[in-house]
Amino acid sequence: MPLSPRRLTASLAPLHSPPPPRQPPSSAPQKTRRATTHELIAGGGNPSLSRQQRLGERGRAPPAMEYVNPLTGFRVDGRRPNEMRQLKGEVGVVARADGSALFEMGNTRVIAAVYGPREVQNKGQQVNSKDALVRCEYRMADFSTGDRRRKPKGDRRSTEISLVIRQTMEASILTHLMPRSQIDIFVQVLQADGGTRAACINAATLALADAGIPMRDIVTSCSADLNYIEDSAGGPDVTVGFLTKMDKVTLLQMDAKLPMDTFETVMDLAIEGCKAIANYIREVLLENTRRLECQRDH
Amino acid sequence: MRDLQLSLNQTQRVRLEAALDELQTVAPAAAVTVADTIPVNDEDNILKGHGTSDQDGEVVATLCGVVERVNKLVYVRTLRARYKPEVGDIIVGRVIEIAPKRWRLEINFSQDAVLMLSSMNLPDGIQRRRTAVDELNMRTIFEENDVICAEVRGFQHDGSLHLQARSQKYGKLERGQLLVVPAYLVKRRKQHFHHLEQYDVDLILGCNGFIWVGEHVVVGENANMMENKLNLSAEVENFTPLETRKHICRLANAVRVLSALGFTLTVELIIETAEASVSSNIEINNMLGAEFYVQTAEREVKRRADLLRKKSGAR
Repeated sequence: MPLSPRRLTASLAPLHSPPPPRQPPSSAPQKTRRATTHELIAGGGNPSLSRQQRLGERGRAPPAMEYVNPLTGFRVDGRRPNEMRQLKGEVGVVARADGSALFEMGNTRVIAAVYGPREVQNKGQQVNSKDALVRCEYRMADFSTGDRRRKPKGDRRSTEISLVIRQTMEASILTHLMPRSQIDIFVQVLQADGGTRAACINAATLALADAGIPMRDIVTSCSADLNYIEDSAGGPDVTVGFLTKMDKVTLLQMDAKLPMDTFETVMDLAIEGCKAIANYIREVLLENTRRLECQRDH
Repeated sequence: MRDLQLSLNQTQRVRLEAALDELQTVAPAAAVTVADTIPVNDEDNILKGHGTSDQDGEVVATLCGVVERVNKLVYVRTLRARYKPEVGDIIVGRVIEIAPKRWRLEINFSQDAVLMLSSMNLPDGIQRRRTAVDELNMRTIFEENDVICAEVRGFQHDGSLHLQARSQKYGKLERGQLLVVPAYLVKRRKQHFHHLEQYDVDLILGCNGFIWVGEHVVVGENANMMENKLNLSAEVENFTPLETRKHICRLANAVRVLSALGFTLTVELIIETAEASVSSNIEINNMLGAEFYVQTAEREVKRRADLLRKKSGAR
């Protein structure tokens, strides 16, 4: 049952210079880029400084593009500076998998499939027979970005992201409950618009929960980052993985230097985002579980 | 839906949604998700079962499912998870490997199950030690990719799952269809083997969510008596009549529809669904279409509502 896409307007740091109120496009078509891409940006700190100026502070050459339009107060994709992307999650999208999920954050769209726990296929990889072996494969579809080009399977970027996702998920899976088995997580980016790493982790969490794999906590991830155009222009990108219930950070990745005080606000924003995402994921899972239980006979 | 790719038209979608909403109102369920706190009374010391963990003195769910309380025990019953074996369960599995003195079976568990040569009856029916010759002839009993019915014997010390097939009713399954459904849809009952006489079909509801629908085979003492007759007409017997094949397909499709809808699979419900498809003149191949899918949902909703009314009426 497709869940109605819901808008999570980030109730994050207050907007100091509120942009002209925009009608929330509740019925707006999904396809329009303007309407759907909402994202969290590291802009809550000092509104009087434009993004460009702050980048300038870091001693970097200011990028050619301004991220926040000084006139309208909107970003390139039509979001407010610290507005979150629109979330959409759906479980059970891959028929043959034990658990699967589709997760959308704005225009970023990721599909995850979980197989397992199942018999270890390659006994050589098994380090400890008391724990489950977690494996992860990340892949970007060739058509996921603007320029369609074939990417080799084992390139550095995807190997690194596979590792990041694997480590993040392994931290939350109770591996000791499934000895002598392996769990495979396959994540594929269908559409990339910044924040793919975060979307992948969220999708993997949903898929793992759908597969009935015991977990300590819901890991969610949010990146205070940029969309594809902004990312290509070379702005900072902070991805945070967060265990909501335990209030612990399991992942922190930064692709650029940030001054300490800015970093803290960015971090707070990202954590706020994680919490919002966790709420959403919980809603999706609860709805799904409730539906399954009701359809089952009593 | 998970297994069926349906294209519902507008009316069908509305009908389906109405039916499923009705189900939710008939019996609302109390579900938890990962990291939800399960409320417990602090006074009574409770036992934490599967799917729960202790975090800062709180009982927290580690799975998505429904909270069950049995006396002091609190646990989370999962829905879509792999099969959790219990001793004595009747399961259907597929042979994936032949290892020394044992077969390895895929049974939708977190590891492969093991069926030892010594824990199954030999075809000749004689009780004796298994010799090296028997071991060499293992492939004459079961080959790779054969579908087998067996019983869960228990866990070994090393944590592996062992099966046994010490009865005539267990063994290789032939001439039928294997269907894989989520394990939570099959409830543990007294009877998992069903002979549907009106169709001449055997239905085995494996606890692991593997369901076998196949031509009826005669087992037990009758089998020996039948043996002589069978040998005479061996060629005829190797052929499944068209009628039976149709019945198998119809029942199999009924199982597919029901599992896609997420209804618990019982023999009664499967037969009822198959009968309904016959009475409303739906071809076997159209059973997987949108219309029958919606009809099945509506029928089930009606059945449950009636059941509920009867119950409250009795009170």
